[in-house]
Amino acid sequence: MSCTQRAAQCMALTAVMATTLVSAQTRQQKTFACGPKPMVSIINEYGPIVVHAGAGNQVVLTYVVHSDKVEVDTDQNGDRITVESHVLTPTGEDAKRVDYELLVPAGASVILHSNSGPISAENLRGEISMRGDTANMDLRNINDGHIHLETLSGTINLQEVHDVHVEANTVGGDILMKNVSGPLVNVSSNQGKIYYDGDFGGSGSYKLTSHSGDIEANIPATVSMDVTAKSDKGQVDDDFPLQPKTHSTFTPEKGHSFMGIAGRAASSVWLHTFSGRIRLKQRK
Amino acid sequence: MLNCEQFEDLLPEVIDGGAWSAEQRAHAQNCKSCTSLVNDLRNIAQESKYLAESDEPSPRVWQELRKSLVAEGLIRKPAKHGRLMDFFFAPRWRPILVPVGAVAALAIVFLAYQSDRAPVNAPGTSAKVGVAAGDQSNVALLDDEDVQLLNQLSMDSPAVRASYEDSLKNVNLYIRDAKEVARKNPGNDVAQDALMQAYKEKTMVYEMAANRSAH
Repeated sequence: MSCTQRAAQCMALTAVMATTLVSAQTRQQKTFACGPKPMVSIINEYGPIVVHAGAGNQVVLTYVVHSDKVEVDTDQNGDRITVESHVLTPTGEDAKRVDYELLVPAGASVILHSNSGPISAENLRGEISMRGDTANMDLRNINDGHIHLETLSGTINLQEVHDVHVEANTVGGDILMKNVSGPLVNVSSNQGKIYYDGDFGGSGSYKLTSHSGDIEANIPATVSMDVTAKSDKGQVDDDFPLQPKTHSTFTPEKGHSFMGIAGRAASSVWLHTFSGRIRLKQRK
Repeated sequence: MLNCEQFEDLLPEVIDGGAWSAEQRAHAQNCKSCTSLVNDLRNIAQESKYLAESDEPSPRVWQELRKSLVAEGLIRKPAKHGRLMDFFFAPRWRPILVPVGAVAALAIVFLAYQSDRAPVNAPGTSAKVGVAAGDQSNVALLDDEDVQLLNQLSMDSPAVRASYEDSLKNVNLYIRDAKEVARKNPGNDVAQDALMQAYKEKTMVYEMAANRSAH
């Protein structure tokens, strides 16, 4: 067989495969009438889930199924809406994939599970729960409510999150926070890096912990906090001017821990890692 | 010339006060690890002589402690010993029992040192994966429940199993390190908090695996 003939055969095969793939993808949309604070849950084995705040008291679900080996089951009971990807026959990851996009009232509560992710949500005010083995998670412009995030190796990215109770846990991924504040912010990464850029505002309690990952906080001169930082085996760098605390049961160990207050010490900040490095920097 | 394994086989003779052979002496002079082991074992044997002479707290302290433990239900009336047990645990035997116990402890340390130099289990078995000699930073212990969980996840895909295995090893390392700090600092809130966080991570991994199986 000549090279030209082989090339022609490859192109024909590629065209057939592409056509098959496109035809197997099915896009559907469903609308659910609801109140201002519905509860929506999506269980998806593979594929992204994207959630935005929409207008009106309704939930608009758009999904793309990538093969005929998976179907989407939906159910509504009052303001509780459940969506689940149902694998019909055992198959590879690509064939199990379903892409979801959700428009919900801003006050909706969402439970989003996708093993592969990514999972993202923005402009919401309700309760948000995300879980995924390797899912990267991205949340922006979230106010009030409660965020609960769990992933084994995904990266967690929080931006403009205010007055929110945040609990985020990842084993191998990084946690990146920009302008995150709330009454309680507890984030933990076993191995990954934790990076915080904000003012530890809201008179909250902030706890950033890791096993071996580094922790870095980049804060303005106007911050108001009572901070304690400790690395059992690693190094700590305090590049922010702190006032000494008058009463404390904690005894700092040079090079491994420090503590102090800034401003009126409105927020409590606890930075702890077993063997990572901690750095507290003043934002320029 | 002896190797380390042969040297260790002959150690009990040296520790018991026996004379060094020329080969043993030559190996000890050239091997820091074996020399260090000999010194440690000799120190333990030496210190055990003084154990019987240490001061004990007053009887009143023991009585108060016993009252507290009984009140909490942690100890009950001891079962009656047989006559043989009464014979061996009579006060006149205590000065002998302590050094005997020390020698037993010495034997346990020696056997534990031997087992640390044994090869790591072959991959693919369902037995525990131990810490490889000289490489404690990389491999953490997987307990039986972890192995069982991973075997169940293997039915899913190798990539899933690998992801969970990696996570379990990391959280177990965290638990191990947090336990060590808590052990050295009993009653320290920071140490206890870190240990709780480590266990919380492990719980999260198990919950995620269970959630995966449920769907």
